[in-house]
Amino acid sequence: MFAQKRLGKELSNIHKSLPPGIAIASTPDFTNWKMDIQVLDSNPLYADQIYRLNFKFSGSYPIEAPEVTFIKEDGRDIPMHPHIYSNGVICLDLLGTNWSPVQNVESVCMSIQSMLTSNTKNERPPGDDTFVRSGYRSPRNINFVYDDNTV
Amino acid sequence: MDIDIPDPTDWLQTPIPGLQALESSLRCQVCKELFTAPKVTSCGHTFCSLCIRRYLSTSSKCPTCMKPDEEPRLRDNILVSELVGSFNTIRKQLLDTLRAKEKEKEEEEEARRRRKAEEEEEEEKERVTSIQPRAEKRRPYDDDDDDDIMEDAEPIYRKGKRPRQDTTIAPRYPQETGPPTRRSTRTSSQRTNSRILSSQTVVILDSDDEFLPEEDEISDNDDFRSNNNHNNNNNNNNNGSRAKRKAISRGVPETPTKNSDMVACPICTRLKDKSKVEAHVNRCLEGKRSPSPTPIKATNGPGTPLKRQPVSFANIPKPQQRAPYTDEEKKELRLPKGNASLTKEADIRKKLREFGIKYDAKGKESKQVLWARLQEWTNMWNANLDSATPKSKETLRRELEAYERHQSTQKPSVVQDKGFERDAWSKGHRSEFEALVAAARKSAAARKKENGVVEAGPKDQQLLDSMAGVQAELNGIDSPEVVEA
Repeated sequence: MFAQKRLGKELSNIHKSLPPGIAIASTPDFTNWKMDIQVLDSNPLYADQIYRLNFKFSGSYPIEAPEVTFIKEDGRDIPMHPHIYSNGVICLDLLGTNWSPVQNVESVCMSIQSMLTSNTKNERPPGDDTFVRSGYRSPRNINFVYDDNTV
Repeated sequence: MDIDIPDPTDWLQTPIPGLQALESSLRCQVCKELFTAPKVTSCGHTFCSLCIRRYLSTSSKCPTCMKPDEEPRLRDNILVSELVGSFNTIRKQLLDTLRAKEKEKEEEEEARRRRKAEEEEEEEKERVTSIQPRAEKRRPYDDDDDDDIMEDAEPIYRKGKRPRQDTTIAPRYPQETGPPTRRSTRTSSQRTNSRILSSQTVVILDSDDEFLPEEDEISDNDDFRSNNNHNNNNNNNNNGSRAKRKAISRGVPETPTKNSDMVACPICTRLKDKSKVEAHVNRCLEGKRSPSPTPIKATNGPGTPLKRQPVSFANIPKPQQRAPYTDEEKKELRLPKGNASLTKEADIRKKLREFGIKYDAKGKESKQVLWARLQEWTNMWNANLDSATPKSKETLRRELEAYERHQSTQKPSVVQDKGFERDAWSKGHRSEFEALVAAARKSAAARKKENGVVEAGPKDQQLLDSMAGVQAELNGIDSPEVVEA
């Protein structure tokens, strides 16, 4: 209802225009969208790579943040980044405490794109192994501590 | 996407793409709709009433700038609601007109290109067979053009004709010295006439000033004043305002021409000395009575010098006990938000009952659920009061139910979400789980027999994974269909 209406508007919007490096992979319904993002500059870490983002929307979508993770699909890998766990979970305040309904799918994609663009470290977050093994599948239940403002 | 959703990007296909920016600022950033009952936050951002209320009940900050804000500080944004209203009424018309224009332009462009191509072709032909006269050549081209018109739809017809007419008629007029120019001279002479007339009237108005002394004399005459108070007041009204205007224009307030001139204040109609009238008028405009005793004042309150009542708390009138709200007024009242931890579950139930909202009578719903329902109702109710076209209580109730149904079914089925009731789930699907576990044990035992004990660990893991998959599937199947808006 509320969420679907808003997502419908966003969908028609992104069908008409999207910023460079961002593309729609699949939008089967109003609960789950997949977007392809690409880093456009010559960052050696991500050159010529396309990554797939998975958006999950709850019924109270613009009020509540969507769940956004990277997924391995169609040969897309999970990018190396000190804030991205190897299971695709992204540690980004925008998707947690700093979410605001003014954001939308496009702006989230752009934020993640710029987060990748500005990164120079070829590493995973500390404690990646234990985190991945602990089996969280939904970032909703994780309390991140957003301590690093450099990236 | 074949459904037509009105969107700011619609304007990109029109001759004025700048309208996109205009429309996107008339849309709420939360729901992306045109504002309904716009509210402005204390930081100056505007949102729909319901959107901002909903968001502020989850976190107390502005969605745009993240500055802290609270619901009671929201204010109506009347200008924006007017803007949205007027924009919405013209939107479709404007869009259609602009689109038609753009289409027309494109078609024209197309026609021109075609014509050009044809001309080039003809020139080519001409070059090859340069014997035939040009006039005869023109004809087939015109016919061609007409054929195009016949082929295409109506708009082309209009467009194909109109510019040609325009080009033939438009330049002809200025050259002609016939009727059109004559008419224009006539109108201009009329205009000058009227101008003279108006200037004459202006002169008359100005000469009114010369009557000033006469009126002054009238007001000077005391008996006359008392007898013809009514008439006099009117005259003096004009007089006073003129005097004021004069004084202002001259910028010299304290230059009385006649000392005994009495002028009525245009606001309180009291007679004043001409030299003091301006100051008096200023005071009157500020809403204060003149503190200095004046002749008229003196007659009004004879013998009593202006005395201020001493200020003391005893003199302050006690605020009257507000009359209890009438039913009409009650309908207009915004509901308070309340506090979740201070409100007892029974109170929430009572309130819900008062509003006529359904809840589980057996008490199966937790306080959290009831509170969320009450909050949503409060938001909806308050936002409804803000809107220009309020809905009925019954409609609101239905909307609340739909909203809640939607919220509960839209929960993602990933692992476990907040409201997942593990016990109920495992009880409800006990038989399926048991069957699965039995099957897993069986196949594990069979494999053990085959391979020995070596690979037991990973296999088990695999089985568990498959079970989780089945569970997720069940979850998906079990959830009722999504309610369409």
